[in-house]
Amino acid sequence: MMQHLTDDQMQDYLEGNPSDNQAEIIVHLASCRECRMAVVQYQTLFQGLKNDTGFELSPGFAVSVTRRVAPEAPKSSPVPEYLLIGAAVAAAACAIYFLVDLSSIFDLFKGGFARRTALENAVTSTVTGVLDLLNIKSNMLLLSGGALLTLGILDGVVKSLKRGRLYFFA
Amino acid sequence: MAEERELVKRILTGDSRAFTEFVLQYQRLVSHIVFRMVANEADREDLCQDVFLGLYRNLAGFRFQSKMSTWVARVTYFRCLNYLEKKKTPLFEDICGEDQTIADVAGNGELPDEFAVSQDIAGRLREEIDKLPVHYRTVLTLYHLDEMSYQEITKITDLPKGTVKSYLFRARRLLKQRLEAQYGAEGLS
Ligand SMILES: [Zn+2]
Repeated sequence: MMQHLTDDQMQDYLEGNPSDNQAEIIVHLASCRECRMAVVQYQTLFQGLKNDTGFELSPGFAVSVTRRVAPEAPKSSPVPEYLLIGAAVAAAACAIYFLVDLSSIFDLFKGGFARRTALENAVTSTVTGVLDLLNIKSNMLLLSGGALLTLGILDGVVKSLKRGRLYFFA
Repeated sequence: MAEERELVKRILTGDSRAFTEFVLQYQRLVSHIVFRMVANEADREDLCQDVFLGLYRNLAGFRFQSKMSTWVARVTYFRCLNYLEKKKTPLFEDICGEDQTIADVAGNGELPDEFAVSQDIAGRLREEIDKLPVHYRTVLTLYHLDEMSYQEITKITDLPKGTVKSYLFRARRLLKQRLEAQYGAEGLS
């Protein structure tokens, strides 16, 4: 008859780990009440560890964590605010340029300086050059301004939808 | 796995309900580890929240190379270790009487016929678990409560398999000895 089982042998036996002398262990357990009792105690301990309780989180835990990761009002809109402001300014500038006839102001500017120095001449030609350039590109400017403005409005709509209300139609 | 992938995809597109589902699915596992490793009751729930916020932030980087539960447990375990280090909690408390044998503790060697887990013993067991070193408590929880294999526990904790096994076996032996010291002689049924 083999010696009493060690604690490790008992635990291995209960975990179902294969052992070299598995048959001997079983034979010993069948004949030794002391070891059998110790194994039963380990078994009860295993059961107690498996059914341990006391890990309760507050009932609204999942919801409150979700609220922390996804606040109701999104912090950042898809289009940065400065872009929207820039778009509005650009659109307004384009509108003014097209709606108001500025040529008289330019004429006044030109006529007022009958005797110009070479420097003044250069400055004026640069200014008119820029204005010409602006005139050529103005259609492009208007188009991009309009596109940005549309983006801004769309962003507003999306934001409102996310909050669950469409403010435009409220 | 396919369901997990789908859930992660939904979370990453900003579906907050999907994230709630994710939390509900893993809060048991996370709370097991946090409650076992952290003694301070006031900090436990905050820590669980922290873990989920961290998981949320790192979800895009999860490549499904392990089970989701393994990854969740690993993040939780290391978050708790980090917390314990900050609080300067010793990870290996001195264990008195570890090398006592069953007979030493049980006294006259008279063992109870039954060792049923009554409410009383369950409470006592919890108290005794709390007295164990933090690594012992952790492997006990992962193995018994979350039914993780040695291999999974190794992946979660980075402890070698032999160490996991020795912590587990020593922890159980200690618990059995201490419960016997408490209830053995009375022969509880
Ligand atoms: Zn024996």
